[in-house]
Amino acid sequence: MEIRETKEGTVVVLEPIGRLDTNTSGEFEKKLVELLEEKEERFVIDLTHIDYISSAGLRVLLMAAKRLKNMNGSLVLCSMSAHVKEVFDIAGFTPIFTIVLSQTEAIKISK
Amino acid sequence: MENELSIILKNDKAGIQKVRKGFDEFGQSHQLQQTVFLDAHLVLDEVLTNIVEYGYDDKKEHLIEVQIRLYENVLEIEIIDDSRPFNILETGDPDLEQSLEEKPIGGLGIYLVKKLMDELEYCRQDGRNHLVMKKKITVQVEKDDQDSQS
Repeated sequence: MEIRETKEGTVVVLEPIGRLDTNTSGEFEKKLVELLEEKEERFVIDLTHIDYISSAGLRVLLMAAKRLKNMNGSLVLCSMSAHVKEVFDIAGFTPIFTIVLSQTEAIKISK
Repeated sequence: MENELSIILKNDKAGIQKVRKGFDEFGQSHQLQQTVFLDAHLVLDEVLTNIVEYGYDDKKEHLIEVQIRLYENVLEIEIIDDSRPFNILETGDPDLEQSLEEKPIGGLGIYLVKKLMDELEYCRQDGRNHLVMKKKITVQVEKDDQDSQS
């Protein structure tokens, strides 16, 4: 899967493209783990180009959130479509993540 | 008016990918309502992955059948497989109130299926699971609807 990656100061901004399902979540997890092992601590995941996320994708985000919390790092999600937000709400994930509307806002609060 | 898609797949990741591609084409050619299309992709992913990863005790190849039927007001997805008996309606729900630290990783997929679909039917017949999932397709609102006042 294509994952666009940029860095804004100390914040890593990832923009996965397509779907976060059982097929693609492994690659996304690998990218996150790679960055975590390089000691990156501030992450923004921009979901503009994610059509839908299945439980596999949710699990990857949960893993990242748990690890970052243990490191006193941060994870901010932004630009979710209505459908992705609905899945987050149903899964009970909305209260445990920091979710904002725009990437600009996400980067701002990550610094 | 009824439109159908029938796919037989092997119990592996390539098989599930075949279903994704087939349903992508089906959804696009029938101009399926976006939320219905996305929900259907999600439940196909969850159920088929569940079968492939947890459904079999042996290492043999098994076949799974996916039937998709599009009616005017509802999309029906039927999945038929010979994995171990699994009645989704009888599974317990995960505890969603837990905080980040306590949250377990499992149990979500099936819960999402139960919540996103409008109707679920299950039966076990001739050594096979038959799961039918239905999602309503909302009627398109006419542009000159009387309710819209600007």
